[in-house]
Amino acid sequence: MPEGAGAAGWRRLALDPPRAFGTPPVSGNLRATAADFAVEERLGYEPDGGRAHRLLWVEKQAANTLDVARELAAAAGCAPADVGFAGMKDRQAVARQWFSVPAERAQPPPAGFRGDAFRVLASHPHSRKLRRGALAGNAFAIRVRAVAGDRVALASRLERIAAGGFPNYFGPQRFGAGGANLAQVEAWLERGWLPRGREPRAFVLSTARAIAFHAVLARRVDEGSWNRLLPGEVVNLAGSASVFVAAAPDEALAERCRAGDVRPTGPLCGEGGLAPEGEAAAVEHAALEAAAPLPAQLAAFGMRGERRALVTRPAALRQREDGDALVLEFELPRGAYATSLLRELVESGAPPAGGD
Amino acid sequence: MMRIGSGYDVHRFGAGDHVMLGGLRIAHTHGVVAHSDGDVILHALMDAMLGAAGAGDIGQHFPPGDARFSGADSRDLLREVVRMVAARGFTLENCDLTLVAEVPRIASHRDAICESIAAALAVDRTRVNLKATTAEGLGALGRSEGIAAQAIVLLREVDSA
Ligand SMILES: [Zn+2]
Repeated sequence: MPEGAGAAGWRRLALDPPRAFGTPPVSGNLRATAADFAVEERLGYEPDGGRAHRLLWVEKQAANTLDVARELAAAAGCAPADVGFAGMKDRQAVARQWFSVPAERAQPPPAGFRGDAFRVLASHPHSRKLRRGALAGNAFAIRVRAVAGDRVALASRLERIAAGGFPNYFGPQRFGAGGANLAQVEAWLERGWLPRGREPRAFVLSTARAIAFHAVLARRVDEGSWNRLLPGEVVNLAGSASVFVAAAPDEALAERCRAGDVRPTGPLCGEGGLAPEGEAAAVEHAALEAAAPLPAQLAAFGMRGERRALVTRPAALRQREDGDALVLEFELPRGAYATSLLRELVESGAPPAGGD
Repeated sequence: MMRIGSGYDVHRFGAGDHVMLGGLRIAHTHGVVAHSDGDVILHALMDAMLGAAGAGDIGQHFPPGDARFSGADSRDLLREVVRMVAARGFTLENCDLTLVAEVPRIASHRDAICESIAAALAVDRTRVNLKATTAEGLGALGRSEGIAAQAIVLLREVDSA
């Protein structure tokens, strides 16, 4: 069995993978209150005026996205599955996001409607149900309290990350509160079958995929190749799901990588899909040994192979003072986790809070 | 879910010594009259992708009167379109492209053009097909007054696991 494999190794890979920039320059407290973590969804397009659905702009606090969707469905008189949203937002946060509610067979609650832990801020006509992943990204404003450490070093790290990005790790919420989903992945491997129900199954499979992805990204961080293209790399066009294999990346492609237009990827393991070649394949296969037998199991259980970028890049990254607290503001593209950026910037004493 | 889209573009020949096709510079006795680089294949392709995503057309996103797009490299615009479509949850499954022109003949450039388009789209080469045909001497295209292209694309909704 490879070193670091097994439960303890996976836990470390999931919750404490290697940082790209070393020890954070400052320490501080994150999420003292929900209001310390503000997230606002950016769809990247406007409601289209179609009649079939209403897009509701909702603010929620200390509430799960799924719970809000269920409450909206009950208020509208439709099935929860008919309510759409583009992404799950952190529970312990003030989050603004879009929900779609069918407008022809149901009565979407109007602007001003208040639920248990949310309110509808606005409502617009739209032709389609919102699909998971159909968003440009999110804007964050995160308050760090009791900051100590080297603020000059923090400023230069912000500059470096704004210019070159940071490792695109999944956040801890992907692994369940305190890594609770990891035990379910181990139970799956022992028993050979998945839990009943769509959501529990999906959680186990996506946790397993995230462990395997982290195994590859952690290796590339250790080797210093997480932000550049290797020969045979599966390359992704930033801002899209498009991927292609670059057998021998030339200087022009390397330059586009440095500029953030294209980026290297790691596996979301499953059957089929585009695979790396040459050196990129050798590195990936070696790294995946730390996740065995998850890649083979994921393929056997019918997951389709996809790719996820190894690097992501914040936009509009800045810090400002607010009283005696520090506020970090930035925008991230879809699929990127604020916690993965924060861990390169701030050493926080408290364990990361669970998400949805 | 899959969504289909179609696009069509035509440009008149004018002064010049080359035409841009799929991002590749092809030597010719004429250029084309255009605000941008006049790449008919990429323009048809962009319209097809935007159409499939229900996101309007290129005129709307890159208005011909807008100085920012004067002489623009259509590959850059195409990458923007790929991102717009991705923001709506879609990625390209495949595209089938048809160039309608008496001249220039592109048989010897076809593979290179496909590779250039695949690179601009950032997709595997197998997702791009290009055919060329003539107008059999009929009409303006048949009289070699210009060049046209048609695009059909299929977009696939991305799984977000
Ligand atoms: Zn055109």
